[in-house]
Amino acid sequence: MKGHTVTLLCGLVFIIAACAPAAQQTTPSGTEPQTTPTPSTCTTKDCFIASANACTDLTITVTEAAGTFSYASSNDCLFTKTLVTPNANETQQMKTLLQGKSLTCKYVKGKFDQRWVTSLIYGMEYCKGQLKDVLGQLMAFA
Amino acid sequence: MSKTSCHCFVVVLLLLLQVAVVHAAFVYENHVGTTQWKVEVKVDETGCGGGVETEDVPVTIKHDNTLADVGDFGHGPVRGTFNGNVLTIPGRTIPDGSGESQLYEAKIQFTSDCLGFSGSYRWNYEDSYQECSGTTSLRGTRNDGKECPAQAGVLSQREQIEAARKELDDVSKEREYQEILDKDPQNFWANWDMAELRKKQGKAGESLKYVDAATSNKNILASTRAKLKQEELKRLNLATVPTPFTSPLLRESIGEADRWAGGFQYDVSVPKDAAADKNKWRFLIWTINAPDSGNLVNRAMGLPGDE
Repeated sequence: MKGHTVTLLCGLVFIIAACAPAAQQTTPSGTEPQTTPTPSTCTTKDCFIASANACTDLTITVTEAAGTFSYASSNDCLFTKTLVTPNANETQQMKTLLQGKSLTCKYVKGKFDQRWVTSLIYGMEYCKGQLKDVLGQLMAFA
Repeated sequence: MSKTSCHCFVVVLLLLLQVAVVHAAFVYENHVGTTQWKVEVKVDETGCGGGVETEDVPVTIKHDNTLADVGDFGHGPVRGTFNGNVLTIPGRTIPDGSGESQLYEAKIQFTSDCLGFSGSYRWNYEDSYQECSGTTSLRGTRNDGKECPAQAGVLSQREQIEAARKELDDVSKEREYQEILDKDPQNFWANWDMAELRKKQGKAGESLKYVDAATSNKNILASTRAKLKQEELKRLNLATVPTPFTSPLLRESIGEADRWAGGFQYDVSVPKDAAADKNKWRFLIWTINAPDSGNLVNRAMGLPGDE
């Protein structure tokens, strides 16, 4: 009977472990990712989001359609997004306007808003910085 | 005449002049809006073998400065022209029973207290059996107020907005704005100011609702956006307007805005439907993220009655 219980518990642990990554992948946009792994280096947004959620000191650089961004999280749960290099096809005046602009967002551990990394315009309501201002202002031309 | 009585005379004269100026200030040819009337229509058909018939007809007049679209008081709706307080309705020929009537031009005098009008016009009737003439007299009485419409409309609304903005405490401000919204729920200025007030109070959900109401009027939204575009061009120190074709970042931003699938703005859950009107939604995103958006809109839009 005792042997059966141990086997059952092991099976349960295995099932939970197998299901955890799947649950993480289906987190809807706009909600906080439920994540536990906190790698010290990342190369993908998904990895960064998981680490930032745990307030890990980490920076990644990603090239996207709008330009090359750097995303940084810190131990004191501060997120910084910087538009390092705008898209080469922007006009010179837009490049000058956008280049090097940053925004910062303070958050509570476990409540990282993944839209800060996946979106240009959403989720910035409580963030601050010139990048937020410029991205907001440009919506006047939308 | 003693010095005292002379002073009294001057004061009375000034008061009389002031009253005269106030009354002279209103002319229908400068009015934009709608007025409602009860019109007594008196048709004299004695020249056609009939009698004199009188009927009361409710009539709406839509004023657009000198142009006035007058509702049907017997011969169908008609467009007239104001010169001062005189409305001229052009002559025209209309089908009438088995024949037709030729209506002569009508000159209708509106009273300076804005409460009435009167006028008449001649007409000729002709069918295969007879030709005859008669007269129609009109006498209108205002149904929608006892003062000149401009005093009850744009002017007082402007004053109310100004008064509300000067109030120091939020309760008084809200009361003033609510009075305007009770009469005009989509009023841009009252809704916009309430949105700013709620934002300041940290009530984001209510703020978004007021922005939504403020931008319900498509004409006002279009004119606000056009003005803001120019303001932002200056603030950003851009020489040319960026477009989705010239700016990959703007193209991405617009794409994201239009793909809104529902989610949070501030701490408020906003459904997908909220983005159905793209112009309205993009304006909302600008409102939320652009710095000092509240004051910028106020500067761009001025007050009711401004050009």
